[in-house]
Amino acid sequence: MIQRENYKGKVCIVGYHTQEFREVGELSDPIICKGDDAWLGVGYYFWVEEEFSIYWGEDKKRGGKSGCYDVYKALLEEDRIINAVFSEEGYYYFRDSIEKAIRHLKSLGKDFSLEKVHRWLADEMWTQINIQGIMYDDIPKNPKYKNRVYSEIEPLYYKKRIQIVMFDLKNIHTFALHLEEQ
Amino acid sequence: MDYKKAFEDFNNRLKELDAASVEAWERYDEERLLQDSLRSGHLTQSLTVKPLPILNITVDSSLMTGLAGGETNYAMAA
Repeated sequence: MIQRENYKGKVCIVGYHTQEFREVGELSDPIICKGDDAWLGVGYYFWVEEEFSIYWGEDKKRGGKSGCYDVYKALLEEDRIINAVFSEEGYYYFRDSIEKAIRHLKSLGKDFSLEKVHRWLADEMWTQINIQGIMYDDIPKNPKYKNRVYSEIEPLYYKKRIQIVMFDLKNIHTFALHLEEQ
Repeated sequence: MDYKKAFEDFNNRLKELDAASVEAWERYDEERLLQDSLRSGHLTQSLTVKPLPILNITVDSSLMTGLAGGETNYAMAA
């Protein structure tokens, strides 16, 4: 189950944010993601399960000076997050929105990549209509060279890898170090 | 979340996003990506300048012999 907690009367989802280990000090806020990994637009990315935050650290954050990573934990306000993973309405809202946006951009002569459409939506749509985040998932496959199993019965990959992008720090609470120097 | 209301909001906002606003956003996005690449060290400053136009240069055929045969021109590569 997704972990939820209340923060000042607001229902929040527990999220995990992985970053390179820092020799001095720790983060007081999550780091905004703007690069190629920002697949749902520029924002603050969290995993909803600790397991995947650890895999992300192992795969992506051990290349720095320290060779280690930290996992931070935070509460993410749920009220204005598009839930495209577990809500039928949320999924179709998100899907229809993407398609409508692509058609609109094409009508203006703009043939954007999907990443660019998401960046445009995050900047020009979601934050303007008070959508505070998006919950989305992909299906990870068993890696060939790692001792990691996502599915015991290939090719049925039944495990969702769920992420939440939050667009504004004000909807992220109690951000704190959870696992240090992994 | 009230998705029906969110869809109305989406449609209303979409109507406001015309070609001029999309082009302005593209310029902003390009600059942001560039700055982010520079900060993360993925680009060097020399790559951030606008590309030069391609020049139409005719090379004398006598100079092409080695290259056409597949030799690597190490002087050029260096």
